[in-house]
Amino acid sequence: MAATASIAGYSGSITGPTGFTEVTQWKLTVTNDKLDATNMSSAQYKEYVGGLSGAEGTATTQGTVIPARGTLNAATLKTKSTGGATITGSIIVDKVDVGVPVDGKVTYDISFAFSGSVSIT
Amino acid sequence: MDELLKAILALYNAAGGATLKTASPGGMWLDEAPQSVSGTFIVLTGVSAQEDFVMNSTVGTIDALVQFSVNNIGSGTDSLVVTAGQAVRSTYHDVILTGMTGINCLMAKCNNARLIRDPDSTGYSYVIECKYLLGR
Repeated sequence: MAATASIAGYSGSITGPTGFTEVTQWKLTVTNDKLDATNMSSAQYKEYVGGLSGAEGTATTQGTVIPARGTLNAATLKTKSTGGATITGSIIVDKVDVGVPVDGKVTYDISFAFSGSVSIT
Repeated sequence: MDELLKAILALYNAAGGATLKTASPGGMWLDEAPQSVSGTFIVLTGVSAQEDFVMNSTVGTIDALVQFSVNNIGSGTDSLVVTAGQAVRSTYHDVILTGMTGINCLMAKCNNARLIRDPDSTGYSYVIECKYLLGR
């Protein structure tokens, strides 16, 4: 029986932007627009060509510092400390939801987007 | 959980637990009821300790839940366990525990207290749950 190649997220990370000190989870959506190129010569099938690329995502942090908003910051996202995927580029944080439960810990739910080129390795 | 239970017991035996200790002459017992004891006693039970990890780091937080069961099996009145139960709340509610190794207490809240009568022994129990937020 083959061993699984799955990895756990505990050694993932986001480094770079101010305030991303204790990250408990992150999620990234990498997109590439598809442009409809269907024409009268396409017979019955749709045709596409690739368009603009980008990435945006969310993260949750905790601690005393609210992550910085509105400015571009170099960021590196890793799915694993070594051996996983690495995404690098400049991100801008456009929204931070600060959660302050009366009987729990303070968390920061962050929305961000990459601006400019995104390196995925 | 072990460090939390030790800190709870340490406070019971310290000056801060004097009122509670007076109200529970049968003592505080960990995870078991005594075979024979006189007077009101307390059974402390660790219920759960859910840990939230931080990515690529050794820090984290723990949501821990413990239960105090204040019992008096020899007295046909509820006043003794209610008095001791209220002393549990005043001793532990919003009291940040100290002395834990590798863990800090960030929050202490006591809630969900309820009085139970045992029809067999005709004694009473006063059960209190306490929620702790711990950080490592």
